[in-house]
Amino acid sequence: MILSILDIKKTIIKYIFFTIFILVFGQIYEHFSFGVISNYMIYAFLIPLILGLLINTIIYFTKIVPSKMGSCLYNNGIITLTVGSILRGVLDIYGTTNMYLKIYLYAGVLLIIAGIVFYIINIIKNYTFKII
Amino acid sequence: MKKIFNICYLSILSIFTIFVLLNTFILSEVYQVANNSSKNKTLIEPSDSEKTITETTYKDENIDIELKTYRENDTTIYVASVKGDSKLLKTALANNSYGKNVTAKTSTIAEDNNAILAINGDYYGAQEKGYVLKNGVIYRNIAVSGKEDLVIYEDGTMEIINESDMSLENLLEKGAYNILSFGPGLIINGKISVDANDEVGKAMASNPRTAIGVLKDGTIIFVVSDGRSNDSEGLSLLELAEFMKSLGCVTAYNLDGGGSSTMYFNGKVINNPTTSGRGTSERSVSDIVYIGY
Repeated sequence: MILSILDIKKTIIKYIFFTIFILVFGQIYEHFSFGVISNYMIYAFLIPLILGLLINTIIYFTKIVPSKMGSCLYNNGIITLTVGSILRGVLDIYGTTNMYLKIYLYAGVLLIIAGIVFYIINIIKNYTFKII
Repeated sequence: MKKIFNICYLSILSIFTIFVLLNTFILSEVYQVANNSSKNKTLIEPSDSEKTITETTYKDENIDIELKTYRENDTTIYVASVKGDSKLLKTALANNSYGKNVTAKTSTIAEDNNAILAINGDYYGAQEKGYVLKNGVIYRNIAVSGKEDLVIYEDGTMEIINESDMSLENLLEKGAYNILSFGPGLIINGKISVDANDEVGKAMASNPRTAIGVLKDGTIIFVVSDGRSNDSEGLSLLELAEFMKSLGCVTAYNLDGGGSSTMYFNGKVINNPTTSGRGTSERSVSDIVYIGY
Protein backbone atom coordinates (compact mmCIF):
# COMPACT_ATOMS: atom_id res chain seq x y z
CA MET A 1 0.00 0.00 0.00
CA ILE A 2 1.54 3.27 -1.09
CA LEU A 3 0.42 6.81 -0.31
CA SER A 4 -1.26 9.02 -2.89
CA ILE A 5 -0.02 12.46 -3.86
CA LEU A 6 -3.03 13.83 -1.97
CA ASP A 7 -1.80 12.05 1.19
CA ILE A 8 1.61 13.69 0.74
CA LYS A 9 -0.10 17.07 0.35
CA LYS A 10 -1.98 16.49 3.62
CA THR A 11 1.28 15.45 5.31
CA ILE A 12 2.96 18.67 4.13
CA ILE A 13 0.15 20.76 5.60
CA LYS A 14 0.40 18.83 8.90
CA TYR A 15 4.16 19.47 9.01
CA ILE A 16 3.64 23.20 8.38
CA PHE A 17 1.44 23.42 11.48
CA PHE A 18 3.68 21.10 13.52
CA THR A 19 6.81 23.13 12.65
CA ILE A 20 5.09 26.42 13.52
CA PHE A 21 3.83 24.93 16.81
CA ILE A 22 7.32 23.73 17.82
CA LEU A 23 8.88 27.07 16.78
CA VAL A 24 6.36 29.09 18.81
CA PHE A 25 6.56 26.70 21.79
CA GLY A 26 10.37 26.95 21.85
CA GLN A 27 10.31 30.76 21.63
CA ILE A 28 7.71 31.10 24.41
CA TYR A 29 9.59 28.64 26.64
CA GLU A 30 12.85 30.53 26.07
CA HIS A 31 11.11 33.84 26.82
CA PHE A 32 10.35 32.64 30.35
CA SER A 33 13.67 30.91 30.99
CA PHE A 34 15.46 33.85 32.69
CA GLY A 35 18.08 34.14 29.99
CA VAL A 36 19.13 30.48 30.02
CA ILE A 37 19.51 29.44 26.40
CA SER A 38 19.19 25.89 25.06
CA ASN A 39 19.83 25.28 21.38
CA TYR A 40 17.83 22.04 21.69
CA MET A 41 14.77 24.15 22.56
CA ILE A 42 15.36 27.00 20.10
CA TYR A 43 16.18 24.81 17.09
CA ALA A 44 13.83 21.85 17.73
CA PHE A 45 11.60 23.16 14.92
CA LEU A 46 14.35 22.37 12.39
CA ILE A 47 13.67 18.63 12.80
CA PRO A 48 10.09 18.71 11.42
CA LEU A 49 11.05 21.54 9.04
CA ILE A 50 13.90 19.69 7.34
CA LEU A 51 13.09 16.01 7.83
CA GLY A 52 9.32 16.47 7.53
CA LEU A 53 8.30 19.50 5.50
CA LEU A 54 11.28 19.66 3.14
CA ILE A 55 11.53 15.93 2.44
CA ASN A 56 7.78 15.57 1.88
CA THR A 57 7.82 18.59 -0.44
CA ILE A 58 10.58 16.92 -2.48
CA ILE A 59 8.52 13.70 -2.55
CA TYR A 60 5.47 15.72 -3.67
CA PHE A 61 7.31 17.16 -6.65
CA THR A 62 9.20 13.98 -7.61
CA LYS A 63 6.00 11.98 -7.17
CA ILE A 64 7.98 8.96 -5.92
CA VAL A 65 5.75 8.27 -2.93
CA PRO A 66 6.53 5.99 0.03
CA SER A 67 4.49 3.09 1.35
CA LYS A 68 2.02 3.74 4.17
CA MET A 69 4.11 1.72 6.65
CA GLY A 70 7.34 3.42 5.62
CA SER A 71 5.75 6.85 5.97
CA CYS A 72 4.30 5.89 9.36
CA LEU A 73 7.71 4.78 10.71
CA TYR A 74 9.45 7.86 9.30
CA ASN A 75 6.92 10.31 10.75
CA ASN A 76 7.05 8.68 14.17
CA GLY A 77 10.84 8.97 14.03
CA ILE A 78 10.52 12.73 13.43
CA ILE A 79 8.05 13.08 16.32
CA THR A 80 10.40 11.13 18.60
CA LEU A 81 13.41 13.29 17.74
CA THR A 82 11.39 16.48 18.14
CA VAL A 83 9.97 15.48 21.54
CA GLY A 84 13.48 14.40 22.63
CA SER A 85 14.93 17.76 21.56
CA ILE A 86 12.23 19.74 23.38
CA LEU A 87 12.69 17.63 26.52
CA ARG A 88 16.47 18.09 26.37
CA GLY A 89 15.81 21.84 26.11
CA VAL A 90 13.56 21.77 29.18
CA LEU A 91 16.21 19.92 31.20
CA ASP A 92 19.02 22.17 29.90
CA ILE A 93 17.13 25.28 30.95
CA TYR A 94 16.40 23.81 34.39
CA GLY A 95 20.10 22.88 34.64
CA THR A 96 19.80 19.13 34.88
CA THR A 97 20.32 15.99 32.82
CA ASN A 98 18.78 12.54 32.42
CA MET A 99 20.42 9.42 31.01
CA TYR A 100 17.15 8.30 29.38
CA LEU A 101 17.24 11.22 26.91
CA LYS A 102 19.51 9.27 24.56
CA ILE A 103 16.68 6.75 24.02
CA TYR A 104 14.80 9.44 22.03
CA LEU A 105 17.80 9.77 19.73
CA TYR A 106 18.24 6.02 19.27
CA ALA A 107 14.52 5.33 18.74
CA GLY A 108 14.05 8.34 16.46
CA VAL A 109 17.03 7.54 14.24
CA LEU A 110 16.05 3.85 14.12
CA LEU A 111 12.50 4.69 13.01
CA ILE A 112 13.72 7.14 10.37
CA ILE A 113 16.19 4.58 9.00
CA ALA A 114 13.42 1.96 8.96
CA GLY A 115 11.18 4.43 7.10
CA ILE A 116 13.93 5.11 4.54
CA VAL A 117 14.54 1.36 4.08
CA PHE A 118 10.81 0.84 3.45
CA TYR A 119 10.89 3.77 1.01
CA ILE A 120 13.83 2.29 -0.93
CA ILE A 121 12.22 -1.17 -1.01
CA ASN A 122 9.04 0.47 -2.26
CA ILE A 123 10.94 2.24 -5.06
CA ILE A 124 12.67 -1.00 -6.08
CA LYS A 125 9.39 -2.94 -6.01
CA ASN A 126 7.13 -0.48 -7.83
CA TYR A 127 9.17 1.95 -9.90
CA THR A 128 11.92 -0.42 -11.12
CA PHE A 129 9.25 -2.85 -12.25
CA LYS A 130 7.46 -0.06 -14.19
CA ILE A 131 10.70 0.99 -15.93
CA ILE A 132 11.36 -2.63 -17.02
CA MET B 1 -2.84 -1.16 10.72
CA LYS B 2 -1.07 2.20 10.33
CA LYS B 3 -3.54 3.88 12.69
CA ILE B 4 -3.13 1.18 15.36
CA PHE B 5 0.68 1.43 15.12
CA ASN B 6 0.48 5.22 15.42
CA ILE B 7 -1.81 5.09 18.46
CA CYS B 8 0.33 2.44 20.18
CA TYR B 9 3.62 4.20 19.44
CA LEU B 10 2.44 7.66 20.47
CA SER B 11 0.99 6.20 23.68
CA ILE B 12 4.33 4.56 24.49
CA LEU B 13 6.16 7.82 23.66
CA SER B 14 3.83 9.82 25.92
CA ILE B 15 4.16 7.39 28.83
CA PHE B 16 7.94 7.28 28.44
CA THR B 17 8.11 11.09 28.38
CA ILE B 18 6.05 11.32 31.57
CA PHE B 19 8.38 8.75 33.15
CA VAL B 20 11.48 10.77 32.14
CA LEU B 21 9.95 13.94 33.63
CA LEU B 22 9.04 12.15 36.87
CA ASN B 23 12.47 10.54 37.00
CA THR B 24 14.14 13.92 36.52
CA PHE B 25 12.10 16.08 38.84
CA ILE B 26 10.06 14.02 41.29
CA LEU B 27 10.97 10.37 41.94
CA SER B 28 13.56 10.29 44.69
CA GLU B 29 16.04 7.53 45.38
CA VAL B 30 18.58 7.38 48.20
CA TYR B 31 21.88 5.81 47.13
CA GLN B 32 23.78 6.28 50.37
CA VAL B 33 23.12 7.66 53.82
CA ALA B 34 25.83 10.08 54.88
CA ASN B 35 28.06 8.82 57.65
CA ASN B 36 30.71 11.40 58.18
CA SER B 37 31.83 10.49 61.66
CA SER B 38 34.88 8.43 60.67
CA LYS B 39 36.01 10.89 58.03
CA ASN B 40 35.33 14.09 59.89
CA LYS B 41 38.13 16.50 60.54
CA THR B 42 39.04 16.85 64.19
CA LEU B 43 35.77 18.03 65.61
CA ILE B 44 35.59 21.27 67.45
CA GLU B 45 33.24 21.17 70.36
CA PRO B 46 30.67 23.95 70.56
CA SER B 47 32.09 26.83 72.41
CA ASP B 48 31.10 27.14 76.08
CA SER B 49 32.34 30.69 76.21
CA GLU B 50 30.00 33.56 75.77
CA LYS B 51 28.57 34.07 72.30
CA THR B 52 27.79 37.46 70.90
CA ILE B 53 24.85 37.25 68.55
CA THR B 54 23.22 40.23 66.85
CA GLU B 55 21.17 40.65 63.65
CA THR B 56 24.36 40.88 61.62
CA THR B 57 27.07 39.21 63.67
CA TYR B 58 27.99 35.98 65.41
CA LYS B 59 31.08 35.70 67.56
CA ASP B 60 32.50 33.07 69.89
CA GLU B 61 36.01 31.92 70.76
CA ASN B 62 36.36 29.95 67.50
CA ILE B 63 34.55 31.94 64.87
CA ASP B 64 33.66 35.50 63.96
CA ILE B 65 30.97 36.11 61.34
CA GLU B 66 29.86 39.49 60.05
CA LEU B 67 26.97 40.01 57.63
CA LYS B 68 26.87 43.08 55.40
CA THR B 69 24.39 44.12 52.74
CA TYR B 70 25.55 45.86 49.58
CA ARG B 71 23.74 47.53 46.72
CA GLU B 72 25.44 47.13 43.32
CA ASN B 73 24.07 47.00 39.75
CA ASP B 74 20.50 47.57 41.05
CA THR B 75 20.92 44.40 43.08
CA THR B 76 20.88 43.64 46.79
CA ILE B 77 23.89 41.53 47.73
CA TYR B 78 24.39 39.81 51.08
CA VAL B 79 27.97 39.14 52.12
CA ALA B 80 29.00 37.09 55.13
CA SER B 81 32.68 37.30 56.14
CA VAL B 82 33.90 34.38 58.23
CA LYS B 83 37.09 34.58 60.26
CA GLY B 84 38.22 31.77 62.48
CA ASP B 85 38.78 28.03 62.52
CA SER B 86 38.40 26.57 59.03
CA LYS B 87 37.34 23.23 60.56
CA LEU B 88 33.92 24.78 61.01
CA LEU B 89 33.48 25.10 57.23
CA LYS B 90 31.43 22.05 56.21
CA THR B 91 28.88 20.77 53.72
CA ALA B 92 25.66 18.89 54.40
CA LEU B 93 23.28 16.81 52.31
CA ALA B 94 19.50 17.09 52.29
CA ASN B 95 18.01 14.49 54.66
CA ASN B 96 21.61 13.48 55.40
CA SER B 97 21.43 11.30 52.27
CA TYR B 98 23.09 11.12 48.88
CA GLY B 99 20.71 10.32 46.05
CA LYS B 100 18.54 11.47 43.18
CA ASN B 101 15.88 14.10 43.89
CA VAL B 102 16.74 14.01 47.59
CA THR B 103 16.15 17.65 48.44
CA ALA B 104 15.25 19.98 51.28
CA LYS B 105 15.21 23.72 51.79
CA THR B 106 18.56 25.33 52.62
CA SER B 107 17.10 26.55 55.93
CA THR B 108 15.88 23.03 56.80
CA ILE B 109 19.26 21.40 56.09
CA ALA B 110 20.92 24.22 58.03
CA GLU B 111 18.64 23.68 61.05
CA ASP B 112 19.20 19.90 60.89
CA ASN B 113 22.95 20.52 61.14
CA ASN B 114 22.88 23.37 63.69
CA ALA B 115 24.41 25.70 61.15
CA ILE B 116 25.22 29.23 62.18
CA LEU B 117 25.62 30.43 58.60
CA ALA B 118 24.65 28.50 55.44
CA ILE B 119 24.25 28.97 51.72
CA ASN B 120 22.90 26.56 49.10
CA GLY B 121 25.59 24.35 47.55
CA ASP B 122 26.27 22.88 44.11
CA TYR B 123 22.96 20.96 43.69
CA TYR B 124 24.86 17.77 42.82
CA GLY B 125 21.50 15.97 42.43
CA ALA B 126 20.70 17.86 39.23
CA GLN B 127 23.70 16.28 37.48
CA GLU B 128 24.53 12.66 36.78
CA LYS B 129 28.27 13.28 36.47
CA GLY B 130 30.90 15.38 38.23
CA TYR B 131 32.82 14.81 41.44
CA VAL B 132 30.83 14.65 44.66
CA LEU B 133 33.04 14.78 47.76
CA LYS B 134 31.35 15.92 50.94
CA ASN B 135 33.11 16.12 54.29
CA GLY B 136 35.80 13.68 53.15
CA VAL B 137 33.40 11.07 51.76
CA ILE B 138 33.37 10.24 48.03
CA TYR B 139 29.82 9.87 46.71
CA ARG B 140 30.47 10.17 42.97
CA ASN B 141 33.71 9.76 41.08
CA ILE B 142 32.75 10.53 37.48
CA ALA B 143 34.78 13.33 35.93
CA VAL B 144 33.27 15.73 33.43
CA SER B 145 35.70 17.00 30.82
CA GLY B 146 36.35 20.71 31.25
CA LYS B 147 34.32 21.04 34.45
CA GLU B 148 35.75 23.52 36.96
CA ASP B 149 35.43 22.53 40.62
CA LEU B 150 36.19 24.32 43.85
CA VAL B 151 38.28 22.12 46.10
CA ILE B 152 38.23 22.97 49.80
CA TYR B 153 41.17 21.36 51.58
CA GLU B 154 41.28 20.20 55.19
CA ASP B 155 43.23 23.30 56.21
CA GLY B 156 40.53 25.56 54.75
CA THR B 157 42.46 26.61 51.66
CA MET B 158 40.60 26.66 48.37
CA GLU B 159 41.64 25.86 44.83
CA ILE B 160 39.81 25.78 41.52
CA ILE B 161 40.70 22.74 39.46
CA ASN B 162 39.56 21.16 36.21
CA GLU B 163 38.07 17.67 36.58
CA SER B 164 39.84 16.48 33.44
CA ASP B 165 43.21 17.48 34.91
CA MET B 166 43.00 15.78 38.30
CA SER B 167 41.55 12.52 39.57
CA LEU B 168 39.52 12.49 42.74
CA GLU B 169 42.04 10.08 44.31
CA ASN B 170 44.86 12.58 43.71
CA LEU B 171 42.78 15.35 45.23
CA LEU B 172 42.10 13.23 48.31
CA GLU B 173 45.81 12.54 48.65
CA LYS B 174 46.40 16.29 48.54
CA GLY B 175 43.95 16.71 51.41
CA ALA B 176 40.71 17.62 49.65
CA TYR B 177 37.81 17.58 52.10
CA ASN B 178 34.95 19.08 50.12
CA ILE B 179 34.44 19.59 46.40
CA LEU B 180 31.85 21.93 44.96
CA SER B 181 31.05 21.04 41.37
CA PHE B 182 28.98 23.75 39.70
CA GLY B 183 30.99 26.68 38.47
CA PRO B 184 32.44 28.35 36.71
CA GLY B 185 35.35 29.68 38.72
CA LEU B 186 34.93 33.45 39.05
CA ILE B 187 38.37 34.43 40.33
CA ILE B 188 41.40 32.20 39.93
CA ASN B 189 44.75 33.26 41.43
CA GLY B 190 43.43 36.75 42.02
CA LYS B 191 42.23 37.28 38.44
CA ILE B 192 38.68 37.35 37.10
CA SER B 193 38.24 34.22 34.99
CA VAL B 194 34.85 34.85 33.36
CA ASP B 195 33.81 37.32 30.71
CA ALA B 196 30.49 38.64 29.47
CA ASN B 197 29.99 35.65 27.16
CA ASP B 198 31.18 32.95 29.52
CA GLU B 199 28.08 32.18 31.52
CA VAL B 200 26.74 29.11 33.24
CA GLY B 201 24.11 27.38 31.13
CA LYS B 202 24.55 30.33 28.75
CA ALA B 203 22.60 32.45 31.27
CA MET B 204 23.90 35.86 30.39
CA ALA B 205 20.96 37.57 32.05
CA SER B 206 20.92 38.94 35.54
CA ASN B 207 19.84 36.36 38.08
CA PRO B 208 19.98 35.56 41.78
CA ARG B 209 23.47 34.20 42.48
CA THR B 210 25.31 32.28 45.16
CA ALA B 211 29.09 32.25 45.43
CA ILE B 212 31.87 31.42 47.83
CA GLY B 213 35.34 32.91 47.96
CA VAL B 214 38.37 33.44 50.10
CA LEU B 215 40.49 36.51 50.85
CA LYS B 216 44.28 36.53 50.98
CA ASP B 217 44.22 36.39 54.82
CA GLY B 218 42.01 33.25 54.78
CA THR B 219 38.71 35.01 55.50
CA ILE B 220 35.94 33.01 53.86
CA ILE B 221 33.32 35.02 51.97
CA PHE B 222 29.77 33.77 51.38
CA VAL B 223 27.81 35.82 48.83
CA VAL B 224 24.14 35.66 47.84
CA SER B 225 22.39 38.17 45.61
CA ASP B 226 18.67 38.68 45.14
CA GLY B 227 17.31 38.84 41.59
CA ARG B 228 14.39 38.55 39.17
CA SER B 229 12.39 41.17 41.10
CA ASN B 230 11.59 44.86 40.80
CA ASP B 231 13.63 45.56 43.93
CA SER B 232 16.68 43.60 42.87
CA GLU B 233 17.58 42.89 39.27
CA GLY B 234 20.25 40.26 39.86
CA LEU B 235 23.81 39.85 38.65
CA SER B 236 25.48 38.40 35.60
CA LEU B 237 28.45 36.15 36.32
CA LEU B 238 30.85 38.87 35.26
CA GLU B 239 29.20 41.37 37.62
CA LEU B 240 29.37 38.80 40.43
CA ALA B 241 33.06 38.17 39.73
CA GLU B 242 33.79 41.91 39.67
CA PHE B 243 31.95 42.36 42.96
CA MET B 244 33.89 39.55 44.64
CA LYS B 245 37.12 40.97 43.28
CA SER B 246 36.20 44.32 44.86
CA LEU B 247 35.88 42.51 48.21
CA GLY B 248 39.45 41.29 47.79
CA CYS B 249 38.80 37.63 46.96
CA VAL B 250 41.78 35.74 45.54
CA THR B 251 39.63 32.70 44.76
CA ALA B 252 35.89 32.80 44.06
CA TYR B 253 33.50 30.21 42.70
CA ASN B 254 29.93 30.34 41.44
CA LEU B 255 27.42 27.96 43.04
CA ASP B 256 23.86 27.03 42.07
CA GLY B 257 21.87 30.22 41.59
CA GLY B 258 18.43 31.25 40.41
CA GLY B 259 15.63 30.07 42.67
CA SER B 260 18.12 28.07 44.74
CA SER B 261 20.05 31.11 46.00
CA THR B 262 19.54 31.25 49.75
CA MET B 263 21.50 32.56 52.71
CA TYR B 264 20.66 31.45 56.26
CA PHE B 265 22.17 33.17 59.28
CA ASN B 266 21.46 32.97 63.02
CA GLY B 267 18.28 30.93 62.52
CA LYS B 268 16.63 32.75 59.66
CA VAL B 269 16.76 33.22 55.89
CA ILE B 270 18.46 36.54 55.15
CA ASN B 271 17.77 37.08 51.45
CA ASN B 272 14.59 36.93 49.35
CA PRO B 273 14.78 33.65 47.42
CA THR B 274 12.57 33.58 44.35
CA THR B 275 12.23 31.44 41.26
CA SER B 276 9.73 33.47 39.26
CA GLY B 277 10.15 36.90 40.85
CA ARG B 278 6.51 36.77 42.00
CA GLY B 279 6.83 36.38 45.76
CA THR B 280 9.45 34.89 48.01
CA SER B 281 9.80 31.14 48.15
CA GLU B 282 12.75 28.97 49.11
CA ARG B 283 13.59 26.19 46.64
CA SER B 284 14.60 22.75 47.87
CA VAL B 285 18.19 21.83 47.08
CA SER B 286 20.48 18.81 47.36
CA ASP B 287 23.12 20.25 49.67
CA ILE B 288 24.45 23.27 51.53
CA VAL B 289 27.77 24.81 52.51
CA TYR B 290 27.77 25.96 56.10
CA ILE B 291 29.61 27.14 59.17
CA GLY B 292 28.71 25.23 62.29
CA TYR B 293 29.80 22.86 65.04
